[in-house]
Amino acid sequence: MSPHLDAARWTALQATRDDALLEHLASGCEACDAFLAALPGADGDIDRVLLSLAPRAPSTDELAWARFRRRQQQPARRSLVFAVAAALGLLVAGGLLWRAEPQVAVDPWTGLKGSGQDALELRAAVKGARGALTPIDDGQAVSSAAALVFQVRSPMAGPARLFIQRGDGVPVELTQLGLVQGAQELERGDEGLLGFSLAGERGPVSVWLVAAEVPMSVDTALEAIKAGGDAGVVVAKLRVDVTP
Amino acid sequence: MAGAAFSESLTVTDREELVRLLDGVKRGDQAACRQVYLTWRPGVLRLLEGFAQLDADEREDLVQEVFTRAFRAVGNLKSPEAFDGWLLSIARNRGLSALARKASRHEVRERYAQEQDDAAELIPESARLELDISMVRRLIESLPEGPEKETVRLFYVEGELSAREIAERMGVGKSAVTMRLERFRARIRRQLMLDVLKRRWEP
Ligand SMILES: [Zn+2]
Repeated sequence: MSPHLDAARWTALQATRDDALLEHLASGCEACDAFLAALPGADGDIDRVLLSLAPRAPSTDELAWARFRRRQQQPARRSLVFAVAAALGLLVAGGLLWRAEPQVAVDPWTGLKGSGQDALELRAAVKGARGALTPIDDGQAVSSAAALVFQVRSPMAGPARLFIQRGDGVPVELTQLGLVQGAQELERGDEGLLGFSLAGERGPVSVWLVAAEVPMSVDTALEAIKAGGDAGVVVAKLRVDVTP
Repeated sequence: MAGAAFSESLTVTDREELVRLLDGVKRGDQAACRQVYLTWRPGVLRLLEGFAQLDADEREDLVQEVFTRAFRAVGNLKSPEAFDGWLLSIARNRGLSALARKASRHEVRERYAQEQDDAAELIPESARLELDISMVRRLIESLPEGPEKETVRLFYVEGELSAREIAERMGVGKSAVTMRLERFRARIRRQLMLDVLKRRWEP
């Protein structure tokens, strides 16, 4: 058995004295340090104490404050609302995820660029224990025990990047993909469907797909997300609300 | 004034001031927002200077992002005393996300796995009470002379140079400095846990 800390040992250690493990920890094992480093909590407190070693006076940078205020006062970018009913109605026969009935668009696709055939569309389904796929609606509540799989309809062939965003956080890239024109399930190379486990997620989670005709950098993709699309770059988003 | 930012502890008077300021921020009172921003901006910026891979513009952007997020979410704060640490954990997570965006995909996944914005607190509250400046000073003292100690001394104790400047001065790569600082933070965590666990079992 590995002598290193894991979640179970960590919990046990809180309740029961284990001198061998304590000694091992005190020796400065890198694997165990890495486990402790990944434990949530205390980060902010450690930084607070570290920064107090050389305390800093309040800033007098009124310009920075003015910049911040300006940024706050910019109106929130209105989500674009598209009538995607027609596009959805046309979606490929046999597509696993697409609902047959057209949906009335009440802002289901924020950030869609263009409409109809020019639009990039992203939908998700929850993969059940036996592999059955249940389509989900944008914004739907989904259990954290579920895994998402995706279907996309792309207006063109080209590279794409998939991002995850928790709440209002900065989107973090999950993977890069190649898209073909038309409808397709997102796959990871030869490994089959690309799944995204919601384990450990909580609350609003957005998935962003950014596609282009030519390779783009992560920064370009993030810019496009911010701007709701860009020249030659299309963006699609879907949201789920992850429940315990 | 709510004390020097990131001072070791807040006095009662400071606490009242802090409560007043945070209430103001919740109401969107601009005077309160300005005061909070100017008071904590240097600490947030300093934390971000620990990520040597970020340049000055990127740090500046992140500072704005951190306060935007903090002002929006300040209603979630459990107690005013937690504000310092809470704000800094937002800053650290934003910094890590920014590094992830610059890093390769492999690293992105690793970082992603460790993102912990809203995760449950697995570290006992008692651990935080153990954490104080003298413990950290002792830990720095106990480091063997070498690059890690020098890096920690330059960044945290002297507190003047950014991690990027330290990398230049020491003639090492940017990520080496970031890693040394991370390693030191990991030591603090470990020590914290050991102290808490030992105390728990002492008669
Ligand atoms: Zn170990």
